[in-house]
Amino acid sequence: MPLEITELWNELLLRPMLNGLIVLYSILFQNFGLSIIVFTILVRLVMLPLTLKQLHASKAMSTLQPKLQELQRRYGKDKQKLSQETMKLYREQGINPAGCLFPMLIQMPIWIGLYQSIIQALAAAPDALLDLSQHLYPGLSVVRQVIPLGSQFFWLDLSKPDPFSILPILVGGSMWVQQKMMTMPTTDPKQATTNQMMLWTMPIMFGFFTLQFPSGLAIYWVVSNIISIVLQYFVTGWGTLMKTSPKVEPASKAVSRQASAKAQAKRPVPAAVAAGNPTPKIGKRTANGKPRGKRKNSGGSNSPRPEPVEDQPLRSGDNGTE
Amino acid sequence: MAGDAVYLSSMEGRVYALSAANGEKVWQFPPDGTGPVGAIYAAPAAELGNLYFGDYNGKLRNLDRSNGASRWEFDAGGSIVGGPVVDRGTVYVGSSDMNLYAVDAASGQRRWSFKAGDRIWATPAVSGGTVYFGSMDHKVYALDAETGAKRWEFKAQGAFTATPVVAGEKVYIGAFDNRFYALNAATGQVVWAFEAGNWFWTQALLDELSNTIYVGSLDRKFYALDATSGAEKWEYETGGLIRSAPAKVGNVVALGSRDAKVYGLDAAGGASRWTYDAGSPILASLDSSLDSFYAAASNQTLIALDAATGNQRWSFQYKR
Repeated sequence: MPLEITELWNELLLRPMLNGLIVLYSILFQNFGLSIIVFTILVRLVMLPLTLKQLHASKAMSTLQPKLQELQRRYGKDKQKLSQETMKLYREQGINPAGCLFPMLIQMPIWIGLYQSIIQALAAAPDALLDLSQHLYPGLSVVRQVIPLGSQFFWLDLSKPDPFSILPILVGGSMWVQQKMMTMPTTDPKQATTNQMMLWTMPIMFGFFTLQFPSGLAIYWVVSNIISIVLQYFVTGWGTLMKTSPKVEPASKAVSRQASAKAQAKRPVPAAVAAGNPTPKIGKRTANGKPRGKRKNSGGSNSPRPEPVEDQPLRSGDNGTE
Repeated sequence: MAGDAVYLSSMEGRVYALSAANGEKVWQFPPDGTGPVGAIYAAPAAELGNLYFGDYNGKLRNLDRSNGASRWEFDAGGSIVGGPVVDRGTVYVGSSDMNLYAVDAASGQRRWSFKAGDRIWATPAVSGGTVYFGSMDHKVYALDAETGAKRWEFKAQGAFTATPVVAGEKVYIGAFDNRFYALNAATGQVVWAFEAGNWFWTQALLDELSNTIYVGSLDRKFYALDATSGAEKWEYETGGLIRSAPAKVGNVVALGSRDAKVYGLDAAGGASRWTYDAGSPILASLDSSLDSFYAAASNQTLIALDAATGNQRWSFQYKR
C-alpha cells in the first residue's frame, strides 16, 4: 500500500477504532474481553443500515433464484440473450443486483479496521507495543494510562489462542449457522454442491484460524456471527436452517433434464415468461404467498417438494424458500 | 562493549562476540549448526569472565566470555525482554511472569524473587544495596538487593519499560505517561518531572560533569534536561521514534532513531555534528568506546562509527 493510502487508512479508520476500543477498556472495568464485545456491538450498530440493506437485497435476490435458473436453462447457450433476459427480470422486479454487493463492500474496510485494532490493542510483544504508541491520540490521557491492556478474560489470554479449543468450536459453529441461514435453496445439483461446500469450508477454515489467532479476535468473530444470525433471523427468518432443502435431482436425471431443455429451447418461449406475467399452475396462493390447496409431499416428508420447473412458466410468487 | 570486545545479542536468538578493533567475529552462541535460542531484546551484561543475557523464551543464560560456552541457564517462568544486571555475585532480571529474579551468578540458582503487578520488561539497576526497576504495572520499585524486601514503590500514570539511572540521591526514569521522572532514591518521592509528547521507552544517559540528562522519546525528539531541576536545555527532532538509549563520547552525544539514522549531536547545545544513514531503523541502544559508537540496525548489521566524524569504521552483518 502506498504511504499516503496507509496514512489515510490509519487516520480515518485504524486510529479512531483503536482509541475507541481502549477508551471502552478504561470504562468497562479494564476488561478487554468486554471491550471487544461492546465495541463489536457498537460498530455493528453503526453499520446496521448498510447490513439491513444488504440483507434485504439478498432476500430479494433469493426470490429470483428459480426464475434465474429457468432463464439459465432456456438461454444458457446464448450468453447475450441470457444477459438481456436476466437484466430485464431484475428491472421488472425492481432489484439492483449490486444492491447486496455494495453494502458488503462498504463494510469490508470496517471489518479489516476492527481486526487491526484488536490485534494492535493487544500488543503482546515489544514491537507491537511500540507500534501502538504511534496510533494513540496524544490528547487522550486515559488511553495512555491503561496501557498495556490486561489480556485476561475468563480462561483466556486474549493475546493468545484458546488453550482449550472452545472458541474454535464457537466460531465454526456460529459461522455454520449463519451460512446455513443464508444458503439459498436450489434444485440445481451443481449449485447444491457449491452451497454444501461453502457451508462447511468457511466455518472449518475460520475454526482453524481460531486455533492459531489471538482469542480476542475469536471473540470478535463469535459476537459478530451472533449479531449476523439475529439480524438475518429478523429479515429472512431461519432460512434453510430450520427447513430441509429442496430435493436435489440425481445427476442422471439432471442430464436427461438438460437434454429435454435443449429440445425445449428450440420451442418458442411462453409469452408469460418474456412479459413477466406469471400464470399459476398448481393450487392458489394466499396474499402472503402460502399455498391454499393441499400439496403432495414426497415419501411423507415434511419438506415441500419442488415443482418441476422445466415445463412451467415462471411465477412471480416463487421464492424457493417457502 | 567490554574490554576489547563488542557483544551483540540479536532478535534472531544469537549472541556474537566481535573484535572491537575490526568487527571480526570471535565466537557466537549458539554455535553454527545449532538452532537459535529465543529472541534477545536487550543487551547482554558482561562481568568478569561471564556474559549474561535473557531471551524471549524465558531463559536467563550465563556464557563463558572467552569462548561463548554455556555455563548455566535459569528458567525465568516468562519471556525476558529486559536485560540482566550483575552486582556482587547476583544477577537480577525481570520476567513477563511479573517476577524480578535474583539469581546466584556462579551457580544459576534462585536467591529470591519479587512479584510485581504486571510484566517486567525493564532492565533493573543496582546501586548502594538497592535494586531499582520499573514494571508494566505503572510502578517503580526499590528492593533490598540482599533479601528482595520492598523499600518503596512509586506509582505513575503509565507503564515503565525503561532502565532507571541511579546517581547521587536520585533515580531517573521515563514512563508511558509521557513523563520523565527524577525520584528521590531513598523514598521514591518525585523530585521533578518533565513532560514530552509521547512515551519514554528507553534508558536515559546522565552526564554528571555537565549535570545533564539525555533521553529520547517516542515523540521523535531527543531531550537534554538539567539533572537538578528537570528544565529543558535543548531538544533535537529526528524523523522517527527514539527507542534507542544514547551514548556519549567526548562532546558528542549519539542517538539512533527509527528513521534509520544515527545522529551525532553537540552535547552542550544540541547542534548536529554528523548524521549516519544506516539504511534500516535503529531501535537497539547505542554503545560506545573511547573513540567509537556502536549501533545495531534492524537489518542485522552492527556498525562502528568514528565518534568525532560519524564515518563508518567497520560493519558486521549477522545471520538473518
